[in-house]
Amino acid sequence: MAILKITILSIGISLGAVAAVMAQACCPTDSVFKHCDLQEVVVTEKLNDNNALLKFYKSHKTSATEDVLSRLAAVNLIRRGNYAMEPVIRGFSANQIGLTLDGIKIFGACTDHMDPPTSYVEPSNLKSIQLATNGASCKYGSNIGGSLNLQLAQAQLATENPLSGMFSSSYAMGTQSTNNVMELNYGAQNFGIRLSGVYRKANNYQAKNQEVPFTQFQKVNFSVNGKYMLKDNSFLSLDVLMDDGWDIGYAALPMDVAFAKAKIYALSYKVYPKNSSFEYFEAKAYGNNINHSMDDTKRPLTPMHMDMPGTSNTYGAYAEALLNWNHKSRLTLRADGYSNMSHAEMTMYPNGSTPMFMLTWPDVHSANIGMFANNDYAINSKLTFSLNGRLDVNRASVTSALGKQQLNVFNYDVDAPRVRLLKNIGTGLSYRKNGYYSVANFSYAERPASTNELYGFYLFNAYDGYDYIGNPTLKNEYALNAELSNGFKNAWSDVNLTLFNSRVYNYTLGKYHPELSVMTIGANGTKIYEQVDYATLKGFELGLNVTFAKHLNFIGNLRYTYANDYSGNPLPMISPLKLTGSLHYQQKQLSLQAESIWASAQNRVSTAVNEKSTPAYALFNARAGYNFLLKKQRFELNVALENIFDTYYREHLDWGNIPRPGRSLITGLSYLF
Amino acid sequence: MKNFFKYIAISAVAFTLASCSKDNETLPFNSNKIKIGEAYAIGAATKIQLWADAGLETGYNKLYLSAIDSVSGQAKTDVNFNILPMMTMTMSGGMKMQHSCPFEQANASAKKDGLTPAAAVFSMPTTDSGFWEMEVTINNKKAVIPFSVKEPKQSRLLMVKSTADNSNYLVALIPNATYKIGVNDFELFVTKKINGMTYTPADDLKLSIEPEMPDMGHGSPNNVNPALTSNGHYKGKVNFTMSGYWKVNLQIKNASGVAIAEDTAFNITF
Repeated sequence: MAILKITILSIGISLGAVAAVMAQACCPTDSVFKHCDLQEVVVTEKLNDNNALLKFYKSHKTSATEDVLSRLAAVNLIRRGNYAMEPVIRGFSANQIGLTLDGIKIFGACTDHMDPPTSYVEPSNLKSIQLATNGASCKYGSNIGGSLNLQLAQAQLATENPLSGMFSSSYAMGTQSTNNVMELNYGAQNFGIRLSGVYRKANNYQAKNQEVPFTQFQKVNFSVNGKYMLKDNSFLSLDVLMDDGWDIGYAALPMDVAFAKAKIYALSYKVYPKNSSFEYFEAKAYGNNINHSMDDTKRPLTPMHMDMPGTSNTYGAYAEALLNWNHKSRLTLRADGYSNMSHAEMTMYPNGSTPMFMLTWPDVHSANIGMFANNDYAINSKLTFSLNGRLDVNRASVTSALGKQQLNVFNYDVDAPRVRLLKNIGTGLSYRKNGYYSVANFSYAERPASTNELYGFYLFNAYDGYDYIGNPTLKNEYALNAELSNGFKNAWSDVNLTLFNSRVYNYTLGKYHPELSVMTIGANGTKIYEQVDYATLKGFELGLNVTFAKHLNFIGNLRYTYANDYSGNPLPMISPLKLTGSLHYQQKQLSLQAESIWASAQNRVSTAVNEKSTPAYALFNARAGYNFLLKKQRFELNVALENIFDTYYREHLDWGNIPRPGRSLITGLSYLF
Repeated sequence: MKNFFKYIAISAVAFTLASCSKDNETLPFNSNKIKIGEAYAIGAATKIQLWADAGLETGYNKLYLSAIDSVSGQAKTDVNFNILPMMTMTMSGGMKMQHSCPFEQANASAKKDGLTPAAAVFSMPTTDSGFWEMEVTINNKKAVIPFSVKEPKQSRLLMVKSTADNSNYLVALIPNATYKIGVNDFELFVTKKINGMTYTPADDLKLSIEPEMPDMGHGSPNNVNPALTSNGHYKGKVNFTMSGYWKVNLQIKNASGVAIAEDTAFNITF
């Protein structure tokens, strides 16, 4: 690992050296939609106050990361409880997509995906959420279905007032939950410190006046960013983020979580060279330690108590540079590497008998070294051609003797590490004229197999009720992706229609093996990860942002995905047609928002995983905000009525037929300075 | 501090000497075996020593024999041993009864580190009313070594009465000191009882195993049924997917395919 870091650092230094002799050129960047396959949602509260777009994505000052993600047209969420929902991009999930925190690779420590990396991050830690689909998504790592990079908020330097910040607190009656957020920034001339903290506590919520058990949780999140200006144009930045969740109910699973803890830290150096063709150069070293433990002690019908702790430790580094060759070409270069160690175990305690033990993640080490490059070339003022690629060397191995012995039971030979080359290449052509734009992207993408898919040992999946066994002989899953995006943008409107079509080869699925007995009491059977010829996923996203009058604004999106395997069977976990629309009115101190979310029924279900169809639903929410000055201090009062008609509903990606919260009145007060 | 190290050094030397002298006295053949007992072969001027890997228990036990010249105190290397384990029981009326058990005769050609291997399947533990002795004969001179047998925590011996041929079989699990999660050797030694003194290896059986965890109700895949290697020994593989209490179910069929044992099992906990 040390060698890797040094290599990356030296690559960085040599790039920096080249920069000094290159001529200066500038390439104009456009606004929110940089590429059309890169969508950026700014979640920073203070800077974008009273911004309709911000309020669309972040409907409350105390919204959680997943609330923001759910508004993105390409993102749906798998929900196992009222906590830590797992992002899905256009029907792709888990290892098919990339999830990074400011370029930091994080692997959850739960074998059952109960802690996706996004669950350890709060919007108050973030500056923005970057969603990349198609080619550009491989910047932070190989994936076939797109990527989310959550950009950490950084301390502001040389601010008008040295100290600024926000306190916000809200209470939701329906969910009996409090959400409290603090953001503080101290900005001196050449250094700054930013603190953010979150405390959330939720009791069991109600749906149609019925309490939904095991929907409670508590969490604390705390983050610090320290930024120091070395010279006028270079910065040293330190991030430390701690997230601690406990007593977390997972209504759709047979067990809850005692604790889910993350420590994430990074040190980075970024320079914006003057008189150079390098726009910036950045190098970062990071680490994160995740600790997760499931808990079945509060469940009344547990046949046998079991402990299932898991740990995941990742260390990595990257170097990145943006180079403006000349006025027509712009090159992004990135080299990165990480090393992850995942361990999960299970101990069962039968009454009056000997405890039983196994490794569910048999001490799996995953390491990856990769290079990414993207070049945008302006053919003329209207046409831009992009070409990007990524090459990864991915290595996975079982490190403990016990882990190897276990897998020998399945005649797997895992003595040698599994080394795979992952190749990604993407190309795009964009045309822009008078506010109209059209972008076509094509890519070939490969992804690494996950620890679960390779080495998982009797991992119970509560969705289909099967135990899953890994398969170290899996081939690389790869995809051919095509995306066509057309839109129009002017001063008062922004309309976008994106069509996508992906064909995934070696699509990885669990295959039922009737000859294998189950491990989990009551499981339907045992499945082993195997691959089918291919699967296709296609669909569209429609985005609309229209300003009707000076104070009246409509933002909405419509999404749809249609997915089949090679023989025409529907794929599981595919969201139906869903419409999100929000009307926003802002006048002076008052803001009003009326929102409707509508989803069609999903009857295209996968019988292979016992998927059930989901009925259609329609939701209505109303929110109001009023900001005022009190003794020259700025306050904002917020009131919201969520699920006004107390609709009893669930989304298709929600597990276990658990309803979402019913009507809830939320009141909140914020203090900004 | 200086003194402290001095004492450590002195005691280390003392300990080394002590352990060496002890080894020289009781373990003539640099070995990790433990001594079960010893006795003189009367008229042969030889002391016979009986060794084992661990304390003897009901079921299959590997045994090792050595001989020491009682005059010179030196190990004798050219000895052919003959063993016969004997159980003497005192019945309720005071009458004494003797029987042997299945055993594998000492094999001089397999001698290793000065120890001649043998084996015995003790069919019962030492009790208040019954004791075990090993009769070891060299050059027609006999030594009788008393020893004790304990009942293990989990039985490693099955006695099967076959209605098919109206005979008794003793099925002994050869202990595996290191059961582990994963693939494990599973070896059985099966003998047919002719009478209390005679047992013959049963070489014409068909064995199949099926492990399960009774607390969970699950089994494990890819087990290998024990197949005959030689002289009543059957070797196979048993797979344990987790640690804990396992029940290895065993089915035995005779040469004509008739089941002679069903619903029999070995319990293994690790």
